[in-house]
Amino acid sequence: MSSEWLDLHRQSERLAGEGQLSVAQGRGGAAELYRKAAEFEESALARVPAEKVRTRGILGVSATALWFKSGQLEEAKRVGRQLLDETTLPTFARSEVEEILDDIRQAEVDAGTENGRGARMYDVQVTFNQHYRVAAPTRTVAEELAMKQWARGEHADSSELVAVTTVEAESPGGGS
Amino acid sequence: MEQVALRITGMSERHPGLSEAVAAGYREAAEVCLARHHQPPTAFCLEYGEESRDAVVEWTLPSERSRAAWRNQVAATESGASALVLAAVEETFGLVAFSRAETRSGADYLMVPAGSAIPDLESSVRLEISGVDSGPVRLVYQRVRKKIEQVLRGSGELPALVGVAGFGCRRVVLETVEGVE
Repeated sequence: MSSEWLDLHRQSERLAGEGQLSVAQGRGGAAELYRKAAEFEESALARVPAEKVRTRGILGVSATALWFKSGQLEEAKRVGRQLLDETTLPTFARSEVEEILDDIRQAEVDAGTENGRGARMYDVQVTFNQHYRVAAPTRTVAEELAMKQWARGEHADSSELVAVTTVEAESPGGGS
Repeated sequence: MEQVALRITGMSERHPGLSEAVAAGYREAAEVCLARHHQPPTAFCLEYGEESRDAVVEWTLPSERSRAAWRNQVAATESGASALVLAAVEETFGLVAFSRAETRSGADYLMVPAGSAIPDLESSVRLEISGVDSGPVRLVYQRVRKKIEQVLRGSGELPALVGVAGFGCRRVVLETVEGVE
């Protein structure tokens, strides 16, 4: 069965998957792939009926996360705040969106910028499946910030700390 | 005892939530991880709850190009585990990846019964995947427990599935996480 939102979501997940592979293999282009994926996901979200609350929650978190991963922090904040205004947003989605917005706030504070612009973006892999995109002036600072973010999480467990791998993310470009 | 197959080839044809590129990337990563420890084909143990089954993974030795592309060991283990765990969930529960769900620090998969005409994500089951490159099987069990704790303490979206693949110890362990409302 196909529907307009699902077609758009499929385009988004294809691009997001390619972005993930690009980061994993240390290739360029991930930010642009995530940006396009975020656009498709937001379009998909707009077409999901209001009564499909879990579907809307899943796509809403995805859209916010994809804007975040693309480095478009203002877009991530915009979508995240819109979602938090929805009274029907499921608890799991509210929790995940709030975590992303907290990460953005902290990254901006740590980078000493008002809105994240002016700092470079870094993708830092701290544990097996914990990646952080942080804004920082240098790679070293980015790793410190990512470690701090990870350590603040309630799930942080030093036995899972396997590596710190950092790549400089592409410039988001455009901007909002 | 019947031996089941963990099919890591052709996954995009069976899992609507996997694009061709992503499925190929996961398979390639799995082959790079397997090649660190084994020769093809490789016998695995597939565990779910109290149940344990013999399984086999058919794969081919990766090219130098593939090894170079997946030289980041952590990233390769993560992606390779996705191939094995998705194949194990397909074999064990008849569930396939319907949709990718981005999260703050990665992505999960939303699983539905194979062949079903699902109009939305309302009844899908979230799958959290992890992997262990080397070491004894107790490391796989530890990771499973940790992932279950994370699911229970985290967003609270239940029910969920947790799957961990151990490449060195040739084990895939699946668990369901049922919540207490």
